[in-house]
Amino acid sequence: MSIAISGTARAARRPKTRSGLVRFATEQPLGAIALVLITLFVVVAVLAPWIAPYDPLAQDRVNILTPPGVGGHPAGTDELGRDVLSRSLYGARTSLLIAVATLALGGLIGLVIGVVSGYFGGTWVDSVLQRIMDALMAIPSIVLLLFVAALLGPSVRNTVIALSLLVIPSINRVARGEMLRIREEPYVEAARSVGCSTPRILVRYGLPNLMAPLFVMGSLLFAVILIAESALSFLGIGTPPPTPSWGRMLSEGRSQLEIAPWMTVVPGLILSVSVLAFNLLGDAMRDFLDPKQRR
Amino acid sequence: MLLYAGRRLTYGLLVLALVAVLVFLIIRLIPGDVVRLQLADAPGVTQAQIDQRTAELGLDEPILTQFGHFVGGLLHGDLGTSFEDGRPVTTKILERLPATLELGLLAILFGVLLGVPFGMLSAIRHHSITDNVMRFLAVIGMSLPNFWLALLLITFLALWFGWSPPLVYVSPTEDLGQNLVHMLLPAIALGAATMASIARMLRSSLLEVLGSNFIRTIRSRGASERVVVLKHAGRSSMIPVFTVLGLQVGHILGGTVILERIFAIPGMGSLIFEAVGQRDYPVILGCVIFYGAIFILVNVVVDLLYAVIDPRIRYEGATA
Amino acid sequence: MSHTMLRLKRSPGRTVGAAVAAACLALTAACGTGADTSGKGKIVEDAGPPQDGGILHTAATTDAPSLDIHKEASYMTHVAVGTVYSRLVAPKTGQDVEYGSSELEGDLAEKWSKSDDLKTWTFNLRQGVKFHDKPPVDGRELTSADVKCTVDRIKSLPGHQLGLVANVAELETPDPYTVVFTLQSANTAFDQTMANPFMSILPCEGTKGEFDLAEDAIGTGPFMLKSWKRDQERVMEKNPDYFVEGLPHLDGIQTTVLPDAQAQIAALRSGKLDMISSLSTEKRQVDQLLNQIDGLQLRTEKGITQTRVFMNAAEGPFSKLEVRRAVAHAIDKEGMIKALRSGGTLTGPITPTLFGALPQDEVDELLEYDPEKAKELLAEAGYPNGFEADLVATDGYGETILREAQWIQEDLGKIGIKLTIDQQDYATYVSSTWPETKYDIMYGLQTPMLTADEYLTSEYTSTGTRNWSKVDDPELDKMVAAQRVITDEAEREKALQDIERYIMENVSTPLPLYAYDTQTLYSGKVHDYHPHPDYSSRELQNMWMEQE
Repeated sequence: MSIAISGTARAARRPKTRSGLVRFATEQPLGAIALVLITLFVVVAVLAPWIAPYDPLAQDRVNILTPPGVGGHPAGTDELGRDVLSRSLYGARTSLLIAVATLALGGLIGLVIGVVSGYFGGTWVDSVLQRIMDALMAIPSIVLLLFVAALLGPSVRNTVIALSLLVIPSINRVARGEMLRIREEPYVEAARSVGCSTPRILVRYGLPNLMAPLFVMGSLLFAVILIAESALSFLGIGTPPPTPSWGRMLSEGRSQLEIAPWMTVVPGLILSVSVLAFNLLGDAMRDFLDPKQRR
Repeated sequence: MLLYAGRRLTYGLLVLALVAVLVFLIIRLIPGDVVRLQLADAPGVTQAQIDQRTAELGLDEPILTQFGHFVGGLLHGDLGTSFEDGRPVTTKILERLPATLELGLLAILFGVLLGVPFGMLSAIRHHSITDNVMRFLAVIGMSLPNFWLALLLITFLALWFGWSPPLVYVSPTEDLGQNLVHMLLPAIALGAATMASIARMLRSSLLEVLGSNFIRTIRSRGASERVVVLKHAGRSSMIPVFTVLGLQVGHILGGTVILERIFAIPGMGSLIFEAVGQRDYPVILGCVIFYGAIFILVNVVVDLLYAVIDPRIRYEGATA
Repeated sequence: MSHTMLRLKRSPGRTVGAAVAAACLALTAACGTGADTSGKGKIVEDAGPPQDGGILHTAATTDAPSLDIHKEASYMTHVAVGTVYSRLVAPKTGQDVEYGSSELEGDLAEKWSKSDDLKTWTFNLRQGVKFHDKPPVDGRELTSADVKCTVDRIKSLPGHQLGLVANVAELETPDPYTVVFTLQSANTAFDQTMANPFMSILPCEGTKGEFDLAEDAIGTGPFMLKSWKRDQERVMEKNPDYFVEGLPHLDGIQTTVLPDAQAQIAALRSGKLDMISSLSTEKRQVDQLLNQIDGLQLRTEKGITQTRVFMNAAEGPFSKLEVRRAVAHAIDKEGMIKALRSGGTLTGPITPTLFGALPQDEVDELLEYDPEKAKELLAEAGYPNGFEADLVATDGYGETILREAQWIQEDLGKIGIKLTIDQQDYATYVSSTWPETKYDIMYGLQTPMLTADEYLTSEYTSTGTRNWSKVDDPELDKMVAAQRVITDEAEREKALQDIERYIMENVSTPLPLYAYDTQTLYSGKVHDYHPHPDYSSRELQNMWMEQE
């Protein structure tokens, strides 16, 4: 019985992949474009070592700060003679790594807190957890990041830890909201009355229903993380040199903005387009999954 | 309503207390030592002098005792004195607070003044070119990091038009015009994302309302589209806008830290940045508590405003 | 570096439509840098007789932590209030005086003399010198009592300046205009000591705590502190009762604290700033500004701030001398200067502008870029295949230091030392990592010192107050102590240079690389700017601005 119920629940929330994709593309053209851009982003990130024309760390000291096209560097070089295009491509790798790790870490913690809190909605467990989440949210992100980064020192790992603190409350909020809703659904009531254990109900019925809103949130958070990572690097507390990251490249190029704009325009553009794509995708998915928006 | 407001404020205070505890513990764990920092460039400093300064600052006591003093002071509205110059933290923050609040308010104002018409236009001309352009602009606003936008503005306005913001911050009471000119660029850079969020949120909520039975009824009675949008739909679709504002407060407060630095604005953002650099614990703590307080207060106000805007919402039984 | 380029417009104030502007953003990406500076940036030396009036608008990247010129070791304090105070004697500056020259002139002292045994120094003060007309001092006359108050205060405070007056056994004031110092041991250059900006003479009201020296500054200098808004601005106005007739020329100096270099450049471009300095890095940016702003003057000064590689001499792989010497030869310093700085001079432990510095050709040889030799040294040390280590650097000094750290990372990688950069915030770096020697290898700057002895004693002796690389060499300790009592100038110079050679060959940490040049850009209407590396800014009394 429980299997049948969860089956219908899934079918209702998650359209079959193939036809779903086609329908998504027709209903949400902007979302489809975003999806293509994101696929491109992921492909570039994964294949960077094979696509990039140069080693992103190699210092071509004969060609320092050369404009695009000069000395065999399609997007120019930076102050150490490193190839801006290669660094930008590898930057996608760094950003993807950080964003995925952050979403995984922060998402998991946020999810657990949110689901537990939602399941125990209205009890003291819920209250305590949500007050802690509120406290975390009440500190402006950059201030929070300033602390943590100063505390731990800049490294990719520590950036992930710091950014996770941003993700946890948002995921928690979505997860808890969904759980509060699902809790009242007849099939969950039914499962409970049949005697299913609490963790079993959470995993069996909670998680599948959470996936859709979490994907929407995840996509939007991806954009937030990309920007936050660049802000951290801009303040000198994010990804440490010489690792190529878009945020670092922006910060490295800021003093060269007038004389070597390519140093920042290229990574800045790629960063903005990526953020744009994740925002658009998140939007499109929300519209797509929300029946009220459909016509 | 009053009961609800009271309950929200009580919760807010509780959260604020949690913030204080968290931050107090976190900063004690950051490596680096304020005494050494103050005397670092002075050769010939003896251990005795270091110990003396440590005692002066009360850093030789156990952490729990230090925390006790901190909480005790907090209850009397006393945030202690700065390690750096010995002045009361509250005084230091209150000096800086107005600039940050002004910048934040201007950014919100910029966001609302542009975001609301953009969002409305977008919704009314649903699926038209205008809609798509507006949506595109909005998403761009969300995609450009604010500090990056600020630097582009500074650099290229000077390069192309020979214009740069005024050098010295003047308080609005001194010279309002000059002050606003100074705040213009940072407010735009900071408000761009708010504008984008509002436009997007307003568009989707307006669309939802416009498709509802309630509006269909009004339309069927022959009301003009203008009346429908501005009078009937506008009101209820403003609620999500307030939600956005509540959420944006965090972004805006955080954004002030970077933008105040770039534009040399003496606000709380630059104060906390300096304080972190100097390990000025009381000032850091004080700033974070103020930031938290502003955030919580604004969100309570936003919640209460819901009720004012939409009379259908009542708060008798509602908790957090 | 030859490439086609679109030259940017020479005059900025032109109306360009927003659409054009947007297109230009993409366009500039394709533009090169106009490096043609022929005839641009020249300093106008014969602008005619000085004119009075005008306010100089200038900027600082960071503000002084406090205004207490004795308590505060930061040179930012000296920059901030140097023009407020006077010293007994001061370095001479001017068009005909070489930059960094140690030639002195009387400031508060009309004349001064030393006894034959070099132990008694007498300074005769000018008469009628008045303090600034600010409470509680209210423009009263300066007397020898104020000098005594000042020296007593300096002796009572911890820190750097204590070393400067430690040798003073007694200070007598036989009359209001005479000050007699009796020293414990002979000092041939005690007047140089008194010319140090730390030796600014305060009113007794200040030393007795009648006003807060950290928040206000009252002196006898050419400019008066009108207001100070911390981290925002410092406003100076002309001292109408200045003891040098006809000076200063300027009505005032307005210094804005602008941490962001782009904001400073924008303000220079729009004419809101007359002068920006410390642009130590962006040569190409400077070239472009010179091309675009008519009459802009560029002053490049030989640097006094050294870049340093700090290596832990007590433990880890760098405790082996051969490894440290390998590092000295593995780094392409000239390439670094060319790529990342506007100019610089290779240096030994003592900055090239100071008395006792090694001859340049010797420095160049001791620091010669020779990767092969470096590899051999590394093999000798027992690391034929190199090793791995963390390179500490801070972003607190700006982006250039991080770039240089990456340059060093690449160069040392070539001889097999694989470095990972450990970027730290300035507070951690300066308060913990550095003084507690929590590093194997570190790259950074050394705040300039004003005498050879200061460098050698504080950094390289086993008991030195800044011996943060854990140098422990009894031979060196002896040599440094010995040079201090040599009175013959030529003999002392030779002793100092011997010590430097010894340090380069047998210690090699902190390893000096180069002193980088600094650049100051100022508008065409500013004249007679002849700075001195002591940071006191006293030279601004001679500066003047063309009036419209």
